[in-house]
Amino acid sequence: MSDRVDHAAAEALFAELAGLPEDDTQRAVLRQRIVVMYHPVARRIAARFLGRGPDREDLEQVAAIGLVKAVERFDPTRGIAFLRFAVPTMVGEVRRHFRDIAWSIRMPRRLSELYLALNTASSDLAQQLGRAPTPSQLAEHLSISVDEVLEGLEAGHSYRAESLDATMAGEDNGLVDRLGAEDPDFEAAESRADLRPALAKLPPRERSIVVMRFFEGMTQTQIAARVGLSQMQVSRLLARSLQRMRTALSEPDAVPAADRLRHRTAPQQR
Amino acid sequence: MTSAGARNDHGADAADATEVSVVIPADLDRLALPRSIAATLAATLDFDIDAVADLRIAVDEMVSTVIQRARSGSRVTTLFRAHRDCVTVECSAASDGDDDVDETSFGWMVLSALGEDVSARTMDGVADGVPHFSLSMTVRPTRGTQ
Repeated sequence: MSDRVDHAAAEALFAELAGLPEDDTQRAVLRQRIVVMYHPVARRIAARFLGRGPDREDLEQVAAIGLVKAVERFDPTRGIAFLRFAVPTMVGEVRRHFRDIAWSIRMPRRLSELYLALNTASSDLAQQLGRAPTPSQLAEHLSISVDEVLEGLEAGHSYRAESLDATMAGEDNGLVDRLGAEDPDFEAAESRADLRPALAKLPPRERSIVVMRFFEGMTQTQIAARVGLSQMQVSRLLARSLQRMRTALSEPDAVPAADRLRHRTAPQQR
Repeated sequence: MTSAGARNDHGADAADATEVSVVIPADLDRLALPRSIAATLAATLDFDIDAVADLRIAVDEMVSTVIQRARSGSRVTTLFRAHRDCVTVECSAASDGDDDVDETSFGWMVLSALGEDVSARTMDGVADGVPHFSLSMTVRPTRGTQ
């Protein structure tokens, strides 16, 4: 498993890249060539993480994303070899992937039924009460114990519940239209130039939910009613979106500390 | 390296308060514990599920912020005080001392939307003499506000 990367050739490409103006279309071509050259290294890194859940293809793809980021961020004038910069970036990307999917384990049937029952009950009760129900109200409504309610609420956060949500009515159909009809106050969010890139990384639905909760001060139950999801789904999407935004907002910190100084910000890829 | 404890506070001014504290390494992979303690505590107090979720998100944000400022290898303590009508949270860790908090940041905005009395401070630790950065805030149920 020797990596047959021609480092001298790669260095020449980096030098050529450094000589091009920022907006030169040739940059993308050169980057792509470097990515291809180092792809075997990404594959080897992916192989080190095999057997822990995700399949080879997924891992290689994630490592390759790390490689692309490394090529974009690498600054040859700092005098460190590309590999010393790229390997931690790729490993970091794979680790982050593991963190993201750690809980994607299938939810046991009893819990998934509990989760679905709570989803429906919380929507029903919210409508009936005009506000978010409490765990004891949910317990009474479903004739189960408060402990079971807690367990079900936590399950929504511990397991990846998307597949469950997909089976629920009203998840995606027409949602975009509904959101379009009642546009949240994106202006307030847009005025925060510093947040734009982080918000832009979120899917449209998540972005709307974040804006409604943090810029318009709506409660999760109000948002749920407006976008046709359950409060539990909104809660989970919010938590996940904030996590993503935190990562995006601290992006320069994702670079190894030693390389952080005078590090050029990677261009926005959209 | 994780410890949790609970006790009743019999202080005269806080007879109704329960305290729970959890200590984790300053590592973003370890957020799950303080996060679920937050949710369990709020649910046990029978806060509405909006407030339960808000407290969970707030703790996520607070602990992440403190971890980012924590000295490497230090530990992050999250102290919850549960009252009948609110939960106060204080999260702290040894830091490098240059802890200017940007109150216009998105993180601060998030915390302010989730609760009240958001505050940040840096104080020298009693035991170790190094600066400790801490964030605190209060979350209340949203009952009856709609």
